[in-house]
Parts: sequence; C-alpha cells; structure tokens
Amino acid sequence: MRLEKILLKSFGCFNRRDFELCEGINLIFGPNFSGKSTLVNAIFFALTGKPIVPRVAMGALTQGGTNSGTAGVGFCEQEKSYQLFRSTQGDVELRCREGEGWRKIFSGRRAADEDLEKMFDFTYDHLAAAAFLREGEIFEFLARQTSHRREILYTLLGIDRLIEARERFIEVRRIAKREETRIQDHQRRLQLATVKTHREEIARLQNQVVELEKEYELLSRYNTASGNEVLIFELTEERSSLEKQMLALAGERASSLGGFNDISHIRQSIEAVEAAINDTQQIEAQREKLIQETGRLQNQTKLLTETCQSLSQLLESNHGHCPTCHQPVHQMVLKGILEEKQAEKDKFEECLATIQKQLDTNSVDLSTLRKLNQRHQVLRSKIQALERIESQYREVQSEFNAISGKLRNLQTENSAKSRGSKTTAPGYAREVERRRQTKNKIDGLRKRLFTLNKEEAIITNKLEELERSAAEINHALRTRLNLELACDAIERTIQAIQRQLLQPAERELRRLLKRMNLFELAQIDLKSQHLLPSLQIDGNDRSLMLLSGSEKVILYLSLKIALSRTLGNPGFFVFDDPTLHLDYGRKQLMIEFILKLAEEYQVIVTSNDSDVLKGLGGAHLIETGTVSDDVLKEAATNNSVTQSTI
Amino acid sequence: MPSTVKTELVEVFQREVEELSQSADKYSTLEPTDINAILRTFSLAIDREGDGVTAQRLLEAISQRQ
Repeated sequence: MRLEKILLKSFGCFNRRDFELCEGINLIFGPNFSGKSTLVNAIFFALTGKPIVPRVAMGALTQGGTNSGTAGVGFCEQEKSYQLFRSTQGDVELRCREGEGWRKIFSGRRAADEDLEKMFDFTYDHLAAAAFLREGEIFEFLARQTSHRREILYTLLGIDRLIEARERFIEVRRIAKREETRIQDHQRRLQLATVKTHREEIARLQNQVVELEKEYELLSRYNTASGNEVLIFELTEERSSLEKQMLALAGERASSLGGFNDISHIRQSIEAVEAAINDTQQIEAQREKLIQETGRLQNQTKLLTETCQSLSQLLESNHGHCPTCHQPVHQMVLKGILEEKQAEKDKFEECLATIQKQLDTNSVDLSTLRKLNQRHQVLRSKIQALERIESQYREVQSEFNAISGKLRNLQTENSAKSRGSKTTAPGYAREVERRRQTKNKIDGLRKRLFTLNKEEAIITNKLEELERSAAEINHALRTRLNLELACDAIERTIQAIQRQLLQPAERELRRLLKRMNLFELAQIDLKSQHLLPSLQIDGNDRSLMLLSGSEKVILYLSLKIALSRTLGNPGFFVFDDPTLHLDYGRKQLMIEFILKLAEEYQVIVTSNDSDVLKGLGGAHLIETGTVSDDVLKEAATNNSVTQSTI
Repeated sequence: MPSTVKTELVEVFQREVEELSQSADKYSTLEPTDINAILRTFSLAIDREGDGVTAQRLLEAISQRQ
C-alpha cells in the first residue's frame, strides 16, 4: 500500500485541505502547533477509525467550533487507487478510481473495519504497533504493565486468537466428554437389561412343532381314509355342545324375563312407567305453584288479621275519633268495615285449606316418583340383559342349524357310500381325542413360540442398539482424541509462533541496533518481558527505564521496524518527530536510517528540526507553517528538497 | 488478524498436529480424515467470522471426518 494523499475537512487545525504524498520520504515540516501531528493522526484515524493517541475522544479531533470533522487518505493498493474517508461521527466511505471519476465501494458504519481488514489486510493493532511512531509513545510503552504489553504481543502474533481457540476447544472437549458419558450410561443400561437370547429354545420348539404337525397330518390322513365317520362324530359332538349352550341360554332368558311374557311386554311396561314418571313430574311443577300460592295467601291473611285487630281495638276504645288522624269516626261504619274484612279473611283461609289438601295429595304422589325411577332402571337393565342373551342365542342357533345341515348331508352321503361297514363310536372318540391332544400340544407350543419370538425381537432390538451405541462410543472417543490433539497442538503452536516470529524479529532488531551503534554486544529477548527487549550486556540485565532518551527512541523505533518486517508491513512507516531527544551524531544516524528505510518503504516523517530538513535530501516536503527562507534555501542547496503544498 | 499471520498460524498448527500425530502413541490411531477434520475446525475457530460459531457447531465440525 502506498499513501497518495491526505484529505482533511474540519479536522484538527485544518478547515479544508489536501496534502499530496509521494513515494520515498515525505517530510512534514513546521514549527510547533502547526499541525504536523494532526496529519499523522489524520492518516491513522482514516485507516483505523481510532485516534492515534489512546483514550482521546473523537470530538477532540474536529476543528474547534465544528460538530464533525472528516479525515481521508488516498492510497494505491495493487495498482488501484482508493480514497478512504472517515468522519468523527463514525461514518466511513471507501471509493475506488474508475477512469476519471470515483466509484463508491461502500459507505456507512456497519462492519466497515472488517471489510477493510479483508480488502487491505491491515488492523488497528498492527498499524499502531509496527507502522506508526507517535510522539511520546516510547515512554507510555515502557510504563505499561507487563500484562498490557503481553496483550499487545499476543494480538500481534495472533496468539490471542490461538488462546481463544484453545478455550473453545476445551469447551467442545467438555461437551464431547458429556456426550461420551451419556452414551456410556445408555450402553450400561442396555447391557444390564439384556438377558441371554432365546434362539436355542426357539429352534428346539420349532422342531417339536414340525414333528407334531407331521403327526397331526398322519392322524388326519388316517381319519380321511376311514371315511366321514370321524367328521360326523365330531360334528355330532359339536352339535350336542351347541344344543346344551342353547338350553342354558333359554334357561337364562326365562329367569331374566321374571314374570314378563317377552321383551315386548317389558318394553310396554317401560313405556307405562315413563308415562307415569312424566305425569308425576307435572304434579311436581303444579306443587311448586301451589306452594307459591300458599305463601301469597298466608301473607294476605296475616295482613287482614292485623287490620281486623286494629278495627276491633278502635271499636272497643269508643273514643269517637281516629287516634292517628283525630278525625271523627262513626261506630257503624267501623263495624261494617270490620265485617267486610273478616269475610275476606275467611275466604282466604278457606282457599288456603283447599290448597293445603291438594298439597298433601301431591306429596303422596311424589313419593311414588322415586319408586317409578327405580322400577324404570330395573326394567332397562333387564331388557339389556335379555337383548344380549337373545343375540347370543341367535348366533348359537345359526351355528347349530349350519352344523345340523352339514351333518345331514354327510350322513346321507356316508350311508350311501359305506353301507355295512361300521366303526364303533368309542373307536372314533379315541382317534378324535388323540388328534385333539396333538392339536392342543401344537397350539401350546405355538403360543410359547409366539411369546419367545416377541421377547427375542426385543432382545435383538436391544442388541442392535448396543451395537449402534458401541459405534457411537467409538466415534465419541475418536472425537475426544481429535480435540485433545487439537488442544495439544494449539499449545505447541503458541510456543512455536513466539519462537518463529520473535526470533527473526530479535535478529532484525539486533541488526538495526548494530547499524545505529547501540547495544552491539547485547543479548535481546523479546519473549521473556513481552515485547520489551530484555537487554543483557556482559551477563547483566540493563534496565530499560535507565536508558537515555536517545537510546530509548532508537531502540523502540528499531523494535517497531523489526516487528513490522516480521509480521508484515502495509508498505509505509509514519514517524512523528523521531529525532526528539537525539544529539547531533545520533540525529545523523537516524536520518541515515530513515534514508535506508525509504529504499524499501514509503516513509512519512514529521519534524521541526532544521538538521532533519537538511539531512533528508530529496524528500517531498510538506510544510505546515512558516519556514524561514534561509532554512529552505540552505536545505534546497544542500539536498534538493522538493517542496509541496506550501 | 492480518492474513499473513493467519496463514502462519494455520501452517504452524498443521505442522504441530502432524508431528504430534506421528510422534505420540496416544494419537497413533488417528487417520488422515481425523487430521483434516482438526485442521478444518481450527480454521473455523481462529477466524474472526468464527466468533459466532457455537461450541456445538465446532463439535460437529471435528466429528465430521470426510
């Protein structure tokens, strides 16, 4: 990736400004507070969406007085030009050059970083750790906790993903183990439940059945040979058995009828009982009405009695006026009213007596309702029993008739065929008995065989399930073995990756430091202190905190470049004031170092040091403030600096 | 994680799996299909897109020996 342009709008101290970038070295030069670090920040922010200085709010990146600022970078990747813009509000837009114009590839917020990572293969961590050097970073890095540096190291080497993967494999192994235990338990239950198979007994019984069937066939042949006598004998016996059944059913039917002539007689009785029940239910309704009427009459009688009593008292008092309204009262009128009320009361009492009589009669009728219901129930059950007996009787009778018909035909046929030859009834009986016994034996054996076959089917099913379970357990064991291998291999991969990636980085670091005439005799170990180079000089650890400022800067910058070369570099380095704390000699070494680096990578350097301006000959100059003409003239004379966007 | 690092991780892991399966008796019964299943599942587990993949899905992946 080669950076081509920085495009700013309301970002940092810039309102709206574009800066061209070239291949090789780009020197951003200017005095303090002229926006040099803002340009570094803009490149980093546009690429990653985060400020280069951690824990800085997005709002701090915008120009004072504005709500939102935008930083963009133009870059070239695999011979295609892109422009990537980010606003401090979080919006992202990526464009690709097509002909004379730009085509939008995506815009918005969702998943932008993942898409960018996939397209251009850079991440925040890699850019921050290996491609950018910001001012003061070295001191923060040295002051970091070991665990924090380890996190950075693990992120850079992908070990964090490996550790996550290992955790996930351990979780999967736990699930696999649970599954294995479940299958084993199931297998154990199946083994306990499985008894020995019945195959041998089934085979033995089947042989016995075959033998008995042969015997039965022989007996049948003999019977056939002796004509239809045996069959006639059997049918006669069956008919007599059916006759007995018919007699028993007839007896049962007679006892069930119990005084009734037949079923229709019972049905008539049921109908009569149902009619009586219906009548009685009407009486019940009538009784309800009478009770209501009685209540009403009793109330009225009570009122009239009270009225009569009041009138009598008024008459007896003989005051000549009403005690309530004090109006004059005539005795004759009062007597008339009293008689009238008395007559009305007598009439009500008479009605009440009549109703009471009716109620008494109804009560007697209602007591019969319960009896009627009981009778109805008895008759219904009787009729059901009789219907069952009738049905059975009809079946037996039809069978009896069929056998009788068959018997008649056989007897006719037989008498015509073998007139004269006679076999005695006891002889037939013995043959029939023997055949029956054989048949019974066969039936018994078949029944037993049926039971055994059923049990055998269950056992076979269980055995098959056991086999399946055994296959499953093998599969589960193998899966667990795979997971164990994966976990072991991840463990070894973590070790190997550290070895494989850090050792070349250590070698590169040693080479770079040697070039800078620093720590030439030191042993460097990046792993033991998690990215912080452990320097052993003459067998003694040199504390990094006690290094001079220039030593720290050179060491840290070299570490970044070494890591970048090992882990992969996007194609450029951005250094913010790398010569800070360096004396003239070291500054010259650093300039030489940057010039050498620029042979392989695009390098963007910020500085306000005129020695750097002089030293970086041929650099593309981006001036962010006023530089004195003398300085520029001297730089141009000495090193042919190319000037841009001043 | 940049693709270079991911490729490196996968290569190293494959080498370690092969070494272990050949050197440790415990893993001598495993077949090439098992190794393939392990490598496939590992790629799935370390991929950022695999973050949403459940443990059950990983179990299925490592169980499927094709």
